[in-house]
Amino acid sequence: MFVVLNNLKFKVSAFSHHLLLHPSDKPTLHLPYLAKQILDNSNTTIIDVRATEEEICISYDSESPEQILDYLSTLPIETVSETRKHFVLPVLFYETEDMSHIETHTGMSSDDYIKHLISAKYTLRMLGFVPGFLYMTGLENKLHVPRKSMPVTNIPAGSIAVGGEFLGLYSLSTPAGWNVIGKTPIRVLDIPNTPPMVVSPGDTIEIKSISEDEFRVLEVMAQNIIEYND
Amino acid sequence: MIEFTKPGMYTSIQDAGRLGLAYYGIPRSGAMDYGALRMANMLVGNAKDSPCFEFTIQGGEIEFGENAIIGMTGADMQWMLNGEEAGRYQTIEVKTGDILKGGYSISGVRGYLAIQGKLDCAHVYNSHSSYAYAKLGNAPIKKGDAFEIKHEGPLNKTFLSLMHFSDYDAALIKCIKGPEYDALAEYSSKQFQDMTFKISAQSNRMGARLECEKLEWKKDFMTKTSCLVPGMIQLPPSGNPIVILQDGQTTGGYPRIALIEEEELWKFNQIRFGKEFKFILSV
Repeated sequence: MFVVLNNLKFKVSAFSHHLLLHPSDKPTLHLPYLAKQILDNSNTTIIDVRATEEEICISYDSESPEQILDYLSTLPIETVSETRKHFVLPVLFYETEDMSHIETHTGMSSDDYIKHLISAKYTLRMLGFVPGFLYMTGLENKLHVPRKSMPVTNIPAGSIAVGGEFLGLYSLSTPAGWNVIGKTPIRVLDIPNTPPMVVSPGDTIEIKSISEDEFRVLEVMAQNIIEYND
Repeated sequence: MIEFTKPGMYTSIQDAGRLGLAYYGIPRSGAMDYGALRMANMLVGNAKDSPCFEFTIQGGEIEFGENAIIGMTGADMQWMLNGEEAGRYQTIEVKTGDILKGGYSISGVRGYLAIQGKLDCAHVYNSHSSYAYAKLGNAPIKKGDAFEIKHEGPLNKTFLSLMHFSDYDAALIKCIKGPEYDALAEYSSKQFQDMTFKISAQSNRMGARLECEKLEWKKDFMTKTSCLVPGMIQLPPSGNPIVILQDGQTTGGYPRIALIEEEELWKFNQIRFGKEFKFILSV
């Protein structure tokens, strides 16, 4: 099975009541961004949409997948994000256990590592995994650090971490397999509001280093990233 | 009003779950054995997707502060009402001051209790289901938690007894090939269909870790980040598969070797830790 969305051809495979869409050629469009448009236009038979940079997964409640594909091919899909936003995200960098691992792996001092890290601009590539998790790209090659083989201790909500080529944000406290370098007092997860997240794939993010005092003030204010950037 | 004088091992409120939020990493949640939840609601005359209490491995102890119509389904938690055996899959009338007590399950894992009327509990994103990780819905039940049951009229005393052919602690679980079934090394794909598995006690509503001989990836297999749905069987490099369950993560980085389809997953979720079972791979 195939479906064409905005001139992009996708190979479709069905697994139970889930359709997996894989682009036939190198995608010219960011898949999580395309998936968001399917989600926002979902009818009663499309019950859930998931997306990574490699594939889109559509869960449906209908007898025939063809019906879903026919519906998808009628959707107006935009190629370029009109609504792409830019945010500043304040982060308190502190001496975490993982920082020594980073120093050993990269051969850089923690100060140097952070100096390089905050000088780049990051792009939010995808959501998913767990609520409020952000996958961001833009990390310079020399700042890549492999994930740990076993997720160990619980890290605080708002932790910023490096996993391979990605910069991640854990909105909720969890055992983490990425290398934690700091934490933000600002929320991107906005439960129980709709939508539950205030950032979207395609948005760009700049990291600002803050002091412990600034962190405490912001923590009390409990703002989400839109309020903070206003 | 009803009060939990003992919470059980892990008890939460569940319904059919919340849809449409997986994109944001928020799983569907909902009953681990949705068939049993629906039957519990049927017993008491509630709408089929009404919230119920879902018990895990051990039932709790509940004191009724009012007359009520109740029904239990799912795992056999040896329910007792005021010290006398109380059957599952039948409508039961309880009086003010009655005490319902569950023990350890002797068959199955998840037990359901439905109470006639509207259970007064949190409703978030169109569902009453508890998703503890993100604090959606009511928190898991603690000793002393009390709930109001709202009624629109007098109790409806229609007594039902339902036939059930529940296959608890099933020895065989059907699954279909997953998107990356071919990631399994040749020997391991044979092993997957032949060997016995056990669900590890390290499992919860997010995922079930399987104990088995180590399964291996093909040498040239490259991982990528892919989408996960409940029932998907992932194979981490450790060689022990993980089955993504109702509260599970929505994306992951390991090959998806197989998928347990929805109704079969309800059956899987009733296999007790340590019980041996095999997968049957249908093609």
